Amino acid sequence: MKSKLLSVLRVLGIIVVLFVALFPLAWMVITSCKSMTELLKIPVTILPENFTLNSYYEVWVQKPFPRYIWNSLKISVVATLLGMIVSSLAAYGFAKFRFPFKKGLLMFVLVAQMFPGTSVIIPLFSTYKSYGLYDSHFGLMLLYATISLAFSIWMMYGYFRSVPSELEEAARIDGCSALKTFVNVILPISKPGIAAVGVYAFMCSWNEYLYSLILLTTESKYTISLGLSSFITEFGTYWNQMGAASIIVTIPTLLIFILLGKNLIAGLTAGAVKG
Amino acid sequence: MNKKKKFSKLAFSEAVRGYLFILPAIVLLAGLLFIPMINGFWYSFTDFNILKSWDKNFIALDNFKKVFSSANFGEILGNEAQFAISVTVITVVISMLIALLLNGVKHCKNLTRALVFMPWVLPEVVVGAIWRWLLNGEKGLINGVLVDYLHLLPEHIQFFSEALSLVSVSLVYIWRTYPYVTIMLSAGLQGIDKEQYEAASIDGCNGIKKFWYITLPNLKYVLSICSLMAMIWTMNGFGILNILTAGGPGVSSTTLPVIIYKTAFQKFRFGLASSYSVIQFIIIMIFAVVYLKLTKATDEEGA
Repeated sequence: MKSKLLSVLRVLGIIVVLFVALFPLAWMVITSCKSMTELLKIPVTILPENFTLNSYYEVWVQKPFPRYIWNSLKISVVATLLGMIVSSLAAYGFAKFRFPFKKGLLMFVLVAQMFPGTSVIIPLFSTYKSYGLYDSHFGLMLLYATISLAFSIWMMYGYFRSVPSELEEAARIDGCSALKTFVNVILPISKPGIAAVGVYAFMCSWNEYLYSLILLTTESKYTISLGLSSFITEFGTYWNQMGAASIIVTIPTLLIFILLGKNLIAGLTAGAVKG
Repeated sequence: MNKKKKFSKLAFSEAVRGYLFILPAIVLLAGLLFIPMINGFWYSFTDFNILKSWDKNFIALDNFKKVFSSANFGEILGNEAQFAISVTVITVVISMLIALLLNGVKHCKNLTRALVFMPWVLPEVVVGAIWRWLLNGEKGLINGVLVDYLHLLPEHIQFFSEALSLVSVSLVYIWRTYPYVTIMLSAGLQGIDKEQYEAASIDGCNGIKKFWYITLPNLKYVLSICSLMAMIWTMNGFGILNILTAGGPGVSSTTLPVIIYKTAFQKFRFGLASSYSVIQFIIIMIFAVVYLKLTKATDEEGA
């Protein structure tokens, strides 16, 4: 009897947890299906009185949202690929080679992820201005590849260390160079780890706000974060359009998370059990 | 002698290859994070103001004097402390409870975990927008349900008023951060040896005692790492905060990142903003050193 009550309580608890996690997003979906006149009503209506998908039309056709999505997609894909290549190379170097200052360099990588973005951005702004990287997608690609780097290197470092050295030795005996061994032997068996790094890097780039806010000024170059924040103005916000746009930009993140999220969670939590 | 020389040659070539592998990463990290950080230190001692000119004249500690004598600095530091501590403590407590709940889930385990994780993968701007709308003073859902439908409160809560803005911002950051900590703790829970619990049951320990004497000590490492990460993320938090309140009204929800942003990119006083950055950096590094100490200690044990 007591254990039955406990399991009922547990299920109720989980329902509450899921509700808190998900209702804000659900509310954005509902909001996006209302008209602006309905949104001005007090008290707020729970379900749309006149269901309309007009706000999606407005966001997609009247506002340059497809453009923002294309910009973000372009930047994020390049940054993710670059980040994956650079981080897996570095992680392999750290995991399998002995060299002086290795510990120090690993610490250097770890500390990098703690730097406050608002502190880095001031000098970066003036550097970008003087090297012609300001207001360019290329500049953002480099930066986005870098922000997830520290995390990715540490995640892959743990992964590569668990790969048995016999595999590489066999490849070396067959006459493979270090790089060739890495590409042909190590990478293929590290797919889950690489997927985790890829998901993480993509999400970092796709979701990033501060750097694009400061380093982009031309509206046609805006990323989705900037496009979204432009809905919030001092004269009031078109919340239905904001809702529609939020849903649209969340879909790619969600898709990737549904497809590969398991890898990400596994990668994130790999270090949680030690100690 | 000869053998030793040959060996060191091998070690040398191994080191070179190792350096070549890590080179691209080090170049990116140094070029886009470390060198800017050092430049920022230099700016903090100059009168750099891009509205006037791009010249940087050395003015010693004038910026820091200005910061410490500014009327709002105390309040901003207080906000930062309150924000970081409350978000971290509440997040860790809530996450611990949720992780314990999740640990008993038998059906749809992966799906539940993925759904709980959701708030962590949303874009910052989306999180900010959603909650700005939910917490709206008149037309927000929370006020609508609490006041207009359930009549639990006499009047609408002004979540973004001077009195409540920091609390509201903290709530949203908790909502954003708890999924990460929950997932880490729930992985930690799964790593605990079941035999310890069985032995405790035989000794007649109840659930609370088991939690206190088995679960908590086993989770010490994950808990401290997660708390530190949550603390550092919150202290560096800018995006959601900027969308929700932009630090206002007044300076009631202004933290260091917000004042750095405003000083640099609304007033264009790069020198002054950089001195705020240096202070922020020093605070973060205190926590970073603790973090490094922790991971280093366990790394040596594990390796």
